[in-house]
Amino acid sequence: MVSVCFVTNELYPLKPGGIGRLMYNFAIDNLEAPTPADLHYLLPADARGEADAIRDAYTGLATVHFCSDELSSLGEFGQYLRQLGESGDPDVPRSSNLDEHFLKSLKYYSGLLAAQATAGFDFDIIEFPDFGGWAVAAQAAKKAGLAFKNSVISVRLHSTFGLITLAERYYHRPSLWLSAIWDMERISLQDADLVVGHLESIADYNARAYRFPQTWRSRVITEFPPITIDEPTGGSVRMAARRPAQDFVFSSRLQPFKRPDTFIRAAVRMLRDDPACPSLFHVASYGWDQTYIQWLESLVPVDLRLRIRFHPTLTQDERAQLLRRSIVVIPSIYESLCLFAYESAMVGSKVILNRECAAFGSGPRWQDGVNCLMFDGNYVHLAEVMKNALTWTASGLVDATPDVPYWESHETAAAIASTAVAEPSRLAVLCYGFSTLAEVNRQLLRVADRPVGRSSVDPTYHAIVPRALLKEASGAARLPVVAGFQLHPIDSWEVTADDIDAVLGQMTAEVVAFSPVDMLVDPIFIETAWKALDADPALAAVTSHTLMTGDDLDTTPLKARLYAGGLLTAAAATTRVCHRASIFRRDAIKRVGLLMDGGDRWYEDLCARMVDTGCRFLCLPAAPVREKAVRPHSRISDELYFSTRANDLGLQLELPYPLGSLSHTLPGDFRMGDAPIPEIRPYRTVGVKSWPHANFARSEITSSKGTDRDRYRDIKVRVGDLRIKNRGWDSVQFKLAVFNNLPEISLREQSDIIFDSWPPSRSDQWGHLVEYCPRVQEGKGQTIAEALLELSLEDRSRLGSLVRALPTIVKAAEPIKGIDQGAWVHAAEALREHWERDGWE
Amino acid sequence: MENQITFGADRDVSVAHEDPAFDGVLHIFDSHWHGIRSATGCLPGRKLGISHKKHLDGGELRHIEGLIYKWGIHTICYQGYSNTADELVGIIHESLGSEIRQFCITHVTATQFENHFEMHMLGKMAARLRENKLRRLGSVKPGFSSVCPVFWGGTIVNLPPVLKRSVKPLRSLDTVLIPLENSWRKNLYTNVLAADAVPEVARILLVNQPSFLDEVSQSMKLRIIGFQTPSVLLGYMASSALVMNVTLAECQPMSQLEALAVGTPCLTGPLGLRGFSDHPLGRLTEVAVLDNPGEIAPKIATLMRLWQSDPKELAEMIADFKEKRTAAGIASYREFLDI
Repeated sequence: MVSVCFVTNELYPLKPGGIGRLMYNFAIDNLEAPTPADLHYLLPADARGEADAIRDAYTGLATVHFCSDELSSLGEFGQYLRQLGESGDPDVPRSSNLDEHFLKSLKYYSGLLAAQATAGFDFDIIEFPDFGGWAVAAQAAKKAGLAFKNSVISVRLHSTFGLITLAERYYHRPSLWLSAIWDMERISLQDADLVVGHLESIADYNARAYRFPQTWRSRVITEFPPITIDEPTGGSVRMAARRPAQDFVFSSRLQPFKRPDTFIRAAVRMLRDDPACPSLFHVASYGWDQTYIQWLESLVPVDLRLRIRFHPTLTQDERAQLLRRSIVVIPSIYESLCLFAYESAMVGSKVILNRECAAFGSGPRWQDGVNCLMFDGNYVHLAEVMKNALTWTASGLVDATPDVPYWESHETAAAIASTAVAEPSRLAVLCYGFSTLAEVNRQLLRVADRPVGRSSVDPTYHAIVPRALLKEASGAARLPVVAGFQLHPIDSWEVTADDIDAVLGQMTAEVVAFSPVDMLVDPIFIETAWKALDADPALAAVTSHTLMTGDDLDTTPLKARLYAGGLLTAAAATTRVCHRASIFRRDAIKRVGLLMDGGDRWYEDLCARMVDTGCRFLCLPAAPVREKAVRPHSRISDELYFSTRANDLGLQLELPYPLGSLSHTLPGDFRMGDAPIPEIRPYRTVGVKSWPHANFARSEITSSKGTDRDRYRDIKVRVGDLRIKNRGWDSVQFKLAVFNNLPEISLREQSDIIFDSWPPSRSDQWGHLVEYCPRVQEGKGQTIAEALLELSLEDRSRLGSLVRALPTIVKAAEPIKGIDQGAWVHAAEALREHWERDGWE
Repeated sequence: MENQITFGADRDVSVAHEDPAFDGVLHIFDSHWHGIRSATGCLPGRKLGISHKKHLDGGELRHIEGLIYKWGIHTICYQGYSNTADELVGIIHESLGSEIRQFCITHVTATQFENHFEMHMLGKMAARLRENKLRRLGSVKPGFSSVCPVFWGGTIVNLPPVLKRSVKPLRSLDTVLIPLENSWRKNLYTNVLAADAVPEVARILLVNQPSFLDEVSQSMKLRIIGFQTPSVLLGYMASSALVMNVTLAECQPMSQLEALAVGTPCLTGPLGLRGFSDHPLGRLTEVAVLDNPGEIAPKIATLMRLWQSDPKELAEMIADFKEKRTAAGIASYREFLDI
């Protein structure tokens, strides 16, 4: 019987939410499978409070495990992690963001080890969700051969925090905390043995968003999950179901990417257009951000409050009844599947979906007019579709037949089998940093005492030693011979990048382990890391976490220090990429190059640039290395180091960070430069007096192109050069930039154009445009071209950008109803003519 | 951490000799008594550290009994004695019976009796011997049965630490290391003055400050390196030409054996250990008159010159000494423990 352990923080029926429901569905579906799997669920420690209730609910279905905050399965390291979790690492404040995420991942790793110990066997399949990058520690343990050797670690595409925040621009303040999550999510997807998606369109979406290569896409299994329907209690539903539904309900979570505001605005519009409309509009859900919810409530005009109602605290039954007598509206801009849509359609509700959402508009399952109705993403259109929905009836059912789950098929076995072991590489251990003979000898004694070795392969040992020490030892110019070590004299007390480079150049070994004198390395670390490098040619380096001691490495450690390995964020904002006793592929160092201008920070500089250029790192979820808590003083201050690094990366950011998401520096995506980021707040205006985004269009938008290191060079793309990839929310920045000119001029004159909220939503802007252009046409008898020209004359410097942007505007305007396509093309031509003739720029 | 019991800690097993005959032997030592701990660390057999500062609680006792069962321990050898050890002797005898053979070795000399604790402990050991809970009492001080007649007539011989591979360190041939505390018994001032008087010595490394010595002698050779952990100290021993441990009273100093392990000779007082005091190396390194720098300095000079003239001979002497010492040490333990 195949055993599967799902790592999850939601589990139906104890928490609402699609993922918990999905987990439950697997358990129910498994009962009827021809060969049922042995299912396990691992929940975080904070779910222990409900342990009994959860275990009761899953009796006979699955075994439920809980993580422990004790981290006892990680031994001594766990003990120090526990302290770290309680107190943080006050020495390095910037790192605490990384620590928080890593700790979570390490807790799940520890929980899995404990769950396996309880079960008495290793799980065949361990499935993590994609959000939070929780899989990172367990994946590293597997890669390093520390655990899960016979397990497939899969990652299921629910929705990464990264993708959600892309769909919620202006809602999240860019920060190190955020970008660390994004990076970890990216790495967990990249390193997954298998990726499980529900829809092809969403798998493609992930591949594009993270710029994964084709090989990644081929590791994605797409399978449709089982969907189960709760039978409602009480008879009122059946009664209500007899008459056609005339009410509308929004019942996704109150969160920006679910677009509850679009639903509310459409409701307002529908009621304004047809005050006699008998429908009620229900917002039946909950959320976490009270400010946001207040803002949503403020979108409902006072006189419509009885018609548009909020129900934050419905019971399951009440909600089910409401859903069954209403038309279900799901305006989400992003979903990875949306069980709720399928569940609603399967119980016979009419469903209205957002065509712009890849899970709805791009897939084969939802057919506009057949099993659902779709709207184009803006509330104006949604209002129309909702009106049509009252008289529409579905002519077909949505296909929700579940596929056979992947753990029942043979592909999992194939994924396990990909662990070919190559010939062992040669290893060189490079020691440096000596200031006394005793330190040299101590290192030598360590090597003699506990040599590193793998069967037939012995490493060579190199020591870079100041010549002054060698003279003290030999008393003459002749180089003393030290058994086991090849000595490399240098003429200063400080080791430079060039010294290291010269020694690396003399080596023949493929793998080099640094061993500076102020680090105490357990030979087991070197052996494990060495094997891991041999097993995975894609790895450039292997590191681990460390334990910090006081002045002497032999004394009892004080606390744990976490390292990030190949996280872009860590490389940009911290010095925690790799501890100084990490192990590298020698040619990877050669390729990136050691730079003298890194000064005494040559090692940090090397590691950071390796991450920049896409080298892959493995960070063992263990602490087999000790280092002194106090870092040696550097001539290059932290501030100078980080500023220079930020400059290298093209980050125009001031310390302390916020960092943008480096994981999403994709062509066609762009990050804001240093523009202030407005927070969504409850603020209602009547008439718009000025446009606070003025500095957005003024600043050029930083984008990114190319690969590897060039990716981060400051490539600036002018507004007019931007291309809109799809009709999604991405394009809003572009529109903001262009529109920046238009309303600023026109709205002062046309003060009757009212935004229901501030800042105006994307739908509002389009709504405004739809209204504005015909009015110009009718009122003044102008063509659109003349209107645009007049607008741009106010600020000629914008005209060039506007003209270059016109083809895109035309394309983007295609789906908008009420605009004459021909007029747009004419406008484009007329503007171009003016521009070419007068050469305004 | 300090007061917990530790079984098979890295520092207690990494330099130990291996001998399958000792697989069922458990050495129980006190984690806070560094010299005894170092000596125990070199012995074959299993190692358990306890603390004289803390009584063992029920959980710890059960853990110890579990270890005895798990590792098939048939012989327990207490290295040094404390109230904690005394309790443990009784408890193990009660719960596991006389099948578990218990022995004890003392590491004191009669000169240390001014610390009365030592005599209280010797009294307790003798009492346990009378009760037949301890089978035999041994000592690393030659002729200790002349101090306490109930002790075994032979001498337990300490073993030098083992390094898994031979090491040829980087050695500064004009440096002397004196890793001594500044106390009456340890004789720090005499050692420093003796080394200072030898022209071949350019550098004297000290762990402790010879306070106020500058009022009588303005040596430019002194370097205070401060207290060092065992592994760092071993590095300093390897870097020096000579280690000095000329103290007023001693059993079998571990500093000497550690220095020899890294190929460095060590000056000591007369140790009276048969076969070693009269070994060529013993004759070179044992000093007869302990309180006169003028008597010690010539010994230092001889050794410093030997490093220059015939380092190979010195290395061979040290190797031979270590080999004989190891053989004698193992033999003494086998005889004492009847294994």
